[in-house]
Amino acid sequence: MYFDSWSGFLVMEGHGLYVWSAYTMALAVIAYNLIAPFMARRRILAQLAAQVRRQERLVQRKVIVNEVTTSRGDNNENRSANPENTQLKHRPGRQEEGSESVERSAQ
Amino acid sequence: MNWTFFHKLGSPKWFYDISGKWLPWLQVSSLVLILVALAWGLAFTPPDYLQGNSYRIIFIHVPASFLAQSIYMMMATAAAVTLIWRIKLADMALKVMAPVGASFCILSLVTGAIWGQPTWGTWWVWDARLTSMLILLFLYIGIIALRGAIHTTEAAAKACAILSLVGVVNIPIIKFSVDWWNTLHQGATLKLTEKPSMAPEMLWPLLLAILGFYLFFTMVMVLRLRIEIISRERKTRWVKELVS
Repeated sequence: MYFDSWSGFLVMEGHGLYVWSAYTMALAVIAYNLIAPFMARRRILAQLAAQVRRQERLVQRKVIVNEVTTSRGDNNENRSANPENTQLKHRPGRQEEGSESVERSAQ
Repeated sequence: MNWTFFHKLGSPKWFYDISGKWLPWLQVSSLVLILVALAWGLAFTPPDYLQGNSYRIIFIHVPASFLAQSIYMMMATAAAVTLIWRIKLADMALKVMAPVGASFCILSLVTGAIWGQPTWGTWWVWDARLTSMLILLFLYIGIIALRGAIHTTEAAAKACAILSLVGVVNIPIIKFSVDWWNTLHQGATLKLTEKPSMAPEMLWPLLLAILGFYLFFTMVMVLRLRIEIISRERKTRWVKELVS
């Protein structure tokens, strides 16, 4: 140890303020570099988890819609020809049926 | 020659797996080295005969400056790899290195200013070394801003790679500024070709601090790169399995 006392270590013969502020700045930069990745990691993982949940919901919704449309029987020829379009669109003649299936699928 | 390692290096998943094993070692070694070196430099080395105790700033200023320039060189290398071989991982590395380099560039400039006040009697002069270092900071900020401004990943990668390569011209200017111009900044303390002009009791903590800072940068870069990989590969199956 070069310095005799704590006060000598802090004052550093008049250069203490310069030396300590430089070292504080170094500490701040090191802390930033340590904290920033962990914050980013938390944010990205939350985003990805939300994405996975959203996809799972979508899959579930599709399953419900499919069950509804298949259980109703094949009284509509349009549906079998174009299965994606019929499920959410209101067609003349079966408007109530259509809105019902949308409501069910939303649950 | 066997080139499979090169293709492996380009695979984000491979890097993610292997870097998880490096991380604990990097974290422990870098933090221990920095702590030992800075405590040594602060409390155990004798003061400089000319500058007194203010010279202790060297144990931060020199590693930070070295790192700011080295990170830029690594970014330029990654930029060349991005443009030539179109390796995705190189562009991710280019992206994550920029904020780290900028932070060490700021540290170098601020500690230099703090050191300048007791030594030269001024915080700042527009001399060649200081000005070229400031330009390096602007280059870092420019690269970060450019990426933020372009939304398509591929276009951003190309633009940032080109800017990084153009900016390399600044690195030799920083390096040789103290020789080419009559600057206030002192000449290089450490040279690869000559024996160092520093006393060994000051040189050892400085070398340890440089090594510690480089390891710290490697650790931070690996941390950030792993996050960037997860973010960009979010559509792949291995990332989905990792998250859920």
